[in-house]
Amino acid sequence: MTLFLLISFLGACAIGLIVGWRVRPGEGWSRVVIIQMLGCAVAVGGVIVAAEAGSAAARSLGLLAIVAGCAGLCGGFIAARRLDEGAPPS
Amino acid sequence: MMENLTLTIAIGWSLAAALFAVALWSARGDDLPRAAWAALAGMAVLGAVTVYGHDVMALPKICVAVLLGSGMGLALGRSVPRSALPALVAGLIGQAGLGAAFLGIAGLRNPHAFGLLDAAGDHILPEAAVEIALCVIFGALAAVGAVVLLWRGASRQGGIGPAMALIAALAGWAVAASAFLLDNIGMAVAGGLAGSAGTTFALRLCVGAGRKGLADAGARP
Repeated sequence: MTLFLLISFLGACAIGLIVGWRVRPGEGWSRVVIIQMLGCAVAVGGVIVAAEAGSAAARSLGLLAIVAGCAGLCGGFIAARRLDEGAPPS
Repeated sequence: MMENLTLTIAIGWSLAAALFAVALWSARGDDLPRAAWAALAGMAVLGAVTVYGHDVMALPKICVAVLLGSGMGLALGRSVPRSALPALVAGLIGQAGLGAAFLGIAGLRNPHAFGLLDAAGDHILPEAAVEIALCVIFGALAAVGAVVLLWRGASRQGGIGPAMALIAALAGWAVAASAFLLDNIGMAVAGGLAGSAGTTFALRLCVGAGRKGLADAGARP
């Protein structure tokens, strides 16, 4: 399992490296918004913590992570749609 | 703590990872909404697989947290003026970093539940301690960086600044550290993609573009 995790992580890092290297002028905001949305995977971690935690404090922290992750995901999604409506900001 | 790797979970993780990669790869001006849909779909698949793979006891509370967070995000995304979208994105990145720091602290508060203790059950395993530390440090740095960026006025910056790409990368690395803490492959892929792409992008802006932003940097380095 840990080996699969490490291989998946390193493969993702390799793809991210290529994507970051190939960003063209004018694509910066698009990439950063998607990177921000990917960072919202903390919501999934929050689900695991809230599901498995034995203490109320840890469960509360997991629930806070879910709120933060879901807010980031939906906010980023709306931001991506609005960025597409016109020229990128500045 | 670790999910039993069944065929359904493996397929779900693979699908989520593929959707994340497609989202990041295809995020360009015209394709941005499609990329955002792919990222959202990947996150939905990952969330569904996670709920399927765990014995979720606090499902009502989790549903309330999901609805609350989604509502907040939708309200924020719709209400801010378009010129403030960069500041909004910076704030959301900081929020994600803070969430990752919460996950690390939760692991520290309740290590037994996440299988982070040694055989005797007295001490946290060294590798788990490193993962918790990375989770909290990267997450806190992303949150503090976002606050500093907002303080300085993210919306007044011309184009994408290296600082914005860097805090996005820090949030990604924090997610990757929490993925190793919680043994979740989908999170590891999302964190690895975000961290690696954000770091490379920030370095290109700092070094390759001479701190001027890609718009002034010509084509690829």
